[in-house]
Amino acid sequence: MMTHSQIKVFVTEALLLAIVSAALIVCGFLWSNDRADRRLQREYKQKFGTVLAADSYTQLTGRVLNDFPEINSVYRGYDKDGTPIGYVFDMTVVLPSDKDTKLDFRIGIDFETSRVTGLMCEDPKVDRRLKYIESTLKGKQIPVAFRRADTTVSDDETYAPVEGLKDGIYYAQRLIDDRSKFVDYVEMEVKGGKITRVNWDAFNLDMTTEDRSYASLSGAYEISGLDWAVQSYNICHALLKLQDPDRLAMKSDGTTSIVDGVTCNIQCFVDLSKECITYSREGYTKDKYLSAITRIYTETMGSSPDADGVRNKAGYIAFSFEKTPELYTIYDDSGSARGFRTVREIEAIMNGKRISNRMTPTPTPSPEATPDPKNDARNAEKGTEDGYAKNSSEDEQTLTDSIDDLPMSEVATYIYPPSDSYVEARLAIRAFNTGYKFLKAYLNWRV
Amino acid sequence: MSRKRAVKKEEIRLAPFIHTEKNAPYIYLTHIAAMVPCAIYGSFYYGLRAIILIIFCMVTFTLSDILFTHIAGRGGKGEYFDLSSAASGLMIALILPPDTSLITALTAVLFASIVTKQIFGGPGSNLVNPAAAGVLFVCLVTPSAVKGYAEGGGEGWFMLRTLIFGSKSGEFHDYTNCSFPELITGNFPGTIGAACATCILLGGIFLLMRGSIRMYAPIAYIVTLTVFFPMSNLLAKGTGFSYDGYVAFMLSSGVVFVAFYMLGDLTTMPSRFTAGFFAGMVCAMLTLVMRAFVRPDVALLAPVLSVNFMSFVLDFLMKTISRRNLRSREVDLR
Repeated sequence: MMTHSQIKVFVTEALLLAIVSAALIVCGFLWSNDRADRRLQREYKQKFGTVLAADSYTQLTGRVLNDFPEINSVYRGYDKDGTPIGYVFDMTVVLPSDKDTKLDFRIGIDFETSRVTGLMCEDPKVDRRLKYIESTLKGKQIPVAFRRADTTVSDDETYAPVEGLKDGIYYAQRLIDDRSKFVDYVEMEVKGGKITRVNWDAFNLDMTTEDRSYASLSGAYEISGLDWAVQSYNICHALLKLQDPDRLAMKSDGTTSIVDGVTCNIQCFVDLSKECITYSREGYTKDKYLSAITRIYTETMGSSPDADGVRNKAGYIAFSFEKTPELYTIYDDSGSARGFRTVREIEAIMNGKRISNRMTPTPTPSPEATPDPKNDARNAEKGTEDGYAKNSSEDEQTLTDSIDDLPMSEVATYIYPPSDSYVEARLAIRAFNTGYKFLKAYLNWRV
Repeated sequence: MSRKRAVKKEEIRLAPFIHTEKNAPYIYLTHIAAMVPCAIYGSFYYGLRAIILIIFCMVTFTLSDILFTHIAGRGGKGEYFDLSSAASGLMIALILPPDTSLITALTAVLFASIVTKQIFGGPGSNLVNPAAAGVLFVCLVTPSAVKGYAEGGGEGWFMLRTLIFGSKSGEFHDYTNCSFPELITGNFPGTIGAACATCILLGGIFLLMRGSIRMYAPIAYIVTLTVFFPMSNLLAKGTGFSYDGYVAFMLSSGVVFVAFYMLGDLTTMPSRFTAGFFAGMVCAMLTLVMRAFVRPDVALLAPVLSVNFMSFVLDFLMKTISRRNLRSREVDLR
């Protein structure tokens, strides 16, 4: 055991040690702090200089960061005079529909105007592919959204188009909904005898629910593989290239293995595309189609779609004719269904005409349409985020009411998605939108 | 018969019969005092979160030990004042990054206290250094939770959110960019207490003065690191020796802390000169090889545990070798 005098000596020495060390620490800090600051600024410049060319950076802290798990750190950049010039975000962005798909980004936002100053992905390969997005967005204001994933044909396609196509815009929709209450439709534009634009999407019978493509991007509609919107985009692009739905090599289970990134059932798309091609040959344009379906609804239900409130903002009839199967079903002699009529045929029957037989779309429910309790719950939850809001202006054709939980009314910039790296571009857009949301919260809406 | 009765009347006490001021509480108290400079460094650079982590680790380690001792029925009668828990808790806090969450620290503490200490019989019976084992455990199980290296300084002094949420942007830094003043004063993103070489050296000198460490292993460790660093650099980075790289490695990687506070330990390191020297060399070699393949903190702590496990065998072997041609009493004096 220690004696009292030994304890005294020990305590004295320990105290002396503490005092000396404290003095050394403070002196050491004063001695090395300038160097540490310079080193830190060098590291920041090396790291963030490509997205925001500032003279110095300081890291932001605060509780608001806790609400943004995707943001790793935020820095404010200053010029030589010490005036703030922008923000740099270091983020790990996750695709809502696929938690395993994530990318590390650094983005730069201008201090005064919240315009994009730079974008960099930590993965050099992805970074090279995103140069298009960076160059497109530089100087543009955030938040950002994609335009509708309509695709236009490129000049180097060599596949022969289907013969007999007449120029115009053609449209076909399913007469019954899938089990998630989505009604698929395909819109096709023909120019110079070639298919030059295709869009496959689905609106919901519940008009407060967003279209399937936007629902998939916001995470409310989930299927295996890539986002449904990405798969839709890929298959539309493939049709533009191949010019004929038969060349998509759809297998008996409704899938195709020749289009990269498409794992969903494309039966519906193929059927509706063929229907559009038939209409194109007959000159049965979208306007005529919409008039016909309006008439079919009116004569079947006894009141107009507008009066019943089933016409959505885009002008389509958001109604399922499943309770009147005799309207569209073709029966054989034994009374078994052998196919389905198109709107054109139903209209002809109503006119007392008989038209030649043609393809008969088979409304096979696609796998992605299988109701998922989680998905349904999310749809219900997001029900207030109104769906499709198509305007006459081409620039605003992509409007839905939310993207990345931001109201579309706040979206300042629309860009076309790149054809070769849609997912990466989508993640980049999400990064910018998350940065915007952070700034809103951090600056108390003074963006 | 009368002799037997006489023996019964006497109070028979068991060993130890040697009384010295350097008992276990004294040694642990010395260790705590030696780590105070490092704790002051951590508190000065990283602020409240470092202070809370230090106190939290010390308190939870002590509570865990007390609780487990009672559960195991090993509770004494108050004749032994155990400071090993507080010393180990403090050491855990010092080798954690400043942006570590409390839950991660608690995991390290519980593993160190229960698995590496109490299961083996409590204070003085542990085979390996509890602090090293606890931190290595969390490094391996939740690697991302032990990467909260942050710059020190005033801006984050009052930041507490990392205690709950941990660090988001943790990464291992390249310390070759740091200048010598930064490295020697610990003004770079490191652990709470193992980054400031000056403070560690001060604490080491205090331990030496107080005779609470054996220097065989630490000296062998530092010498081996110095000699074989070029080869390790070649293996890790494909470049040969560079003075900057060597200085940065020695002052930033925590090897000085390991040398003084872990390899000098009287409980878990070999007691004989040859064995201790050999253990120090092995530890250094393992560190140099591992730094090429695993994260820095694992490369630092895993070799310590390896030589801790070897200690008993090394001591036994060295004693056997020394026993040749000598009487047993002489062997013990070697």
